[in-house]
Amino acid sequence: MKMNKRKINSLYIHIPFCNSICPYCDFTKFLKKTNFEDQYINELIEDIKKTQISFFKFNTIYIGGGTPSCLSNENLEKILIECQKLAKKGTEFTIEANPEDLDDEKLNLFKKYGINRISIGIQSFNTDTLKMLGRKSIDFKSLIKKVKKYIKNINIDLIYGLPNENIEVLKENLKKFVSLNCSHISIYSLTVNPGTIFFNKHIKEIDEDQNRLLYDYICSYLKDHGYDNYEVSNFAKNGKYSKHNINYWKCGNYVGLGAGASGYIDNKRYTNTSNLNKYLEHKDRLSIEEELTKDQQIEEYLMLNLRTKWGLNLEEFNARFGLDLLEVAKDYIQLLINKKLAIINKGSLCLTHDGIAIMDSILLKIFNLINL
Amino acid sequence: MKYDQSKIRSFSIIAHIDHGKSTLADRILELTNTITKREMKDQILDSMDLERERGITIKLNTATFEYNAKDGNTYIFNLIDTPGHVDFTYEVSRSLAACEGAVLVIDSTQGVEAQTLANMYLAVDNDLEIIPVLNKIDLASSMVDVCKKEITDRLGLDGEHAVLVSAKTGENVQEILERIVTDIPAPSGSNDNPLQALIFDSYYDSYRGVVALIKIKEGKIKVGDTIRFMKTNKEFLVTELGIRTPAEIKSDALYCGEVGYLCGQIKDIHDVKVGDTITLSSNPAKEPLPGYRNINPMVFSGVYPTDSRKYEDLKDALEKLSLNDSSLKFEAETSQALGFGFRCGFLGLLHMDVVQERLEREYNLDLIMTAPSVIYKVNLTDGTQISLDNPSKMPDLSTVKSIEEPYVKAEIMTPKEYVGTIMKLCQDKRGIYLDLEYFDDTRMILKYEIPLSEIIFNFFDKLKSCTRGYASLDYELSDYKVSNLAKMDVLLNGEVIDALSSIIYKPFGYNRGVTLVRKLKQVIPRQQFEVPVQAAVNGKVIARADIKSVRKDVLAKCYGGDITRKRKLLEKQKEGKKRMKQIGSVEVPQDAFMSILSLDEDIED
Repeated sequence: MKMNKRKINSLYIHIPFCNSICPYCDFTKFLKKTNFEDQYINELIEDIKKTQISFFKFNTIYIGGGTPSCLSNENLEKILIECQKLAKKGTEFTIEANPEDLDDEKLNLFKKYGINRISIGIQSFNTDTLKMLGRKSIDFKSLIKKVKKYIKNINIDLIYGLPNENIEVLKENLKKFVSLNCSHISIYSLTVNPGTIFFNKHIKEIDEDQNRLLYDYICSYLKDHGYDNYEVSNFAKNGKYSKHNINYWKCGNYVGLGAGASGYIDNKRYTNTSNLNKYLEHKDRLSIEEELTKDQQIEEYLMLNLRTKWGLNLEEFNARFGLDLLEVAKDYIQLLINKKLAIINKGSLCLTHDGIAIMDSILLKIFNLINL
Repeated sequence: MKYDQSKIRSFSIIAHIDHGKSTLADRILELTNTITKREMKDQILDSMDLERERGITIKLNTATFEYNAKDGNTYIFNLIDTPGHVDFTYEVSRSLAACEGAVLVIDSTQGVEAQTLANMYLAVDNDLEIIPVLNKIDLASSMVDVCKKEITDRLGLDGEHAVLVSAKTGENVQEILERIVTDIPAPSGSNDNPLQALIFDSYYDSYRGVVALIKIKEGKIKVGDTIRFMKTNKEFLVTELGIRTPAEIKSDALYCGEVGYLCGQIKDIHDVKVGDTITLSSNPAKEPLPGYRNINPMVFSGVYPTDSRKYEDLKDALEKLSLNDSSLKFEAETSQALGFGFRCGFLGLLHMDVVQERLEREYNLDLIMTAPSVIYKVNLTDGTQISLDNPSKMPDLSTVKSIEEPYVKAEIMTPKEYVGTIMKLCQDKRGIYLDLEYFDDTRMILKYEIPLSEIIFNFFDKLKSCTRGYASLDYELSDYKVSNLAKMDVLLNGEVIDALSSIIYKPFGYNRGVTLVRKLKQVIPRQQFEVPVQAAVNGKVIARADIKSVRKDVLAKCYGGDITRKRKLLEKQKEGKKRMKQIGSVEVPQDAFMSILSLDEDIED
């Protein structure tokens, strides 16, 4: 039987293992156990091979977690060999890594199999904060220097808004980040989700006003240092945007492999089970599969596109859903423009910094106006 | 069941709330095999979900069953359940009018309480034979001797012959049944007299129309008879008769002294008035039975559908509910802020609460209720007087000479160590001291006249909290007095919101205004743009707070695996917003309209 190969933009691969559990993390993850790891990698490789048969090579590949860098070099190599077969020239190939895992051997392995972007979960440069987050403080300056020898395109993940942090801690963190001269930063306010250690310890998120104060500072500081705030929490220098993530925000299709991973193809979203046993034993491996109704597609289109600086292309929106947003939400959009919460730029509705900060209430208002 | 008038016993169980009335009813039904153990749910006569959940009886209910007494005879018992809360005194008096006797239940760990007295007086008013029962004797804290003395000294009943029971374990409950046989008289009246049947309750059934619960005081009634309602003068053909065990059992006729139900294809609920007398068209009684004391609602509130398209549904629901709950009054009104709705009259706050919950649950409505108000009498400069049940309808000040408000006579029974605290509370609530007397060695009865509006305004909660739950309250309307009152308006974004207006005692105005705007600031969520909330008395702004604008609500992370969850979160928020009322540009949650009620002085800014 001849398979018809599909052209899909992006591939996401989930590695659900970590050396330690971070108190704020609500992703699918397990403490690393070697026997499970081997079995998991074997399963994953089966899935990657099936993907090779069913799909053309991808424009972006992203290995996330968990902590992909905590895998043994043997297992990493096994996966990377197969992943490389799904990459082509120009594919953005990202892996997530923990700072303490990054030795020359591993970095060399990454480079060897075509990884050209690395996302390092540093979270904070502040010793007290790192302690609270249960993470090690290391010499980040020499680490980044070392990484750059192998991979130039580096993202650093930071967290702000921990309960005992003041704005000085944030300023110091941003200053350190800028001094490292990396191309990209994702900086998130701490969210305390059910199921996390922080949630169980009743750690509270900072209040809305304080959060906004810090967010304003971040955006203006990074802008002053040449970083382009192209999405709510993402900033890039010299156009080094994350193509993989932009695909999500443009409602593009993607394949998701591994426990807890999601994929989205032809308006259908599926999520693999986050139960490791079920995943390994092929029992109810698909935990959710839903075909989005038109209304749901519209909701997602709005809530994702408006996150970015490119905003929502009105003509494209109209062509896709047969809805003239400028017409149905005319007065409200005019109000947003008057209040400097939005602008129309090259046929796209874009939220300003002030608008992005309060995007949820703007979305709900628009949903209401277009009767969703 | 074989009819023998001399073997019929009709009785109610009356008690202070929580003294174990419904549990005792359960045991009696069990003991007489009316309900088998298998069918037994706790508190079987409390058939509304709401009653079971809250552990209170709201609506009266009836059960007819047989009892084989020790004298060798079989008796027919009619048990008519009653509510215990002060709000539902009217329901109690309705039940009692259909009885010859009453079982007065007293919690032997608590003793006589305010409602015990009030309910006993109602029973005495109805010439009922009263059997005192001391309940909860299985508990270590039971004080049987003290309670017996109270019954003798305070109630004027024979305390020594009180029946000692535990409704929970069933201990000695049989003794109550024997006492019902020996102490309570059979119904009087004769099958040969013209029919007089008292309607003591009614409800609507979509198949059979109105179902009336009746007690045959004189004469008899058969299926096929043409009957007349003496008050409304409407005539109907009897299509169905029967008794409730509590399950309905049809019968061809009901005879003098029996308690049962009647259907007559009565489609218009207005034709049946609880308290009316049914007679036969062919041989009518000369006059109706004495009706009930016509009870007037004491508190009024605006009831509006959250979704204005549900107005007709609300109207329908209120009509059906008022058939079953004759103390509920309503008439259409319009609010600028809330649209079309109804001004409803209730017996008290619990009644209001219960009606709201029944409308929402049984009729699947989503409601906004405005803060309750009493009826004020407004004396105008032209010498006329108007009744005002909606604060926003207050006439222009220049035409108002004076305003009168209703007072109640409140009796508070309390352990004596709380007397000082309660007196302070009553004074804070503008109470006028009437009397203080010893009830027994440890307890006192405080009598005050207090404005009803203050009773509504968290008096009961305060009383309970400042006496650790030991004080009990009973009250009845006394009269109207001129007070120093004014209307307080609330402005959102500079516009008066009629549904938030209230009448206040002027010297309290500033404090109430400040706490109200702070409270509203708390309950109204942040809006997209800042909104000022102001309180104004007689058109003059006295307090202001600003509802903040949303500052940050965007989700920090939204990648492939987050999207579904995020969309669902937004969909949920979207549904939440539908439950809010859009007033101008402001989204106001339902409970904001009730916030006037829950003002505590310690709200933080």
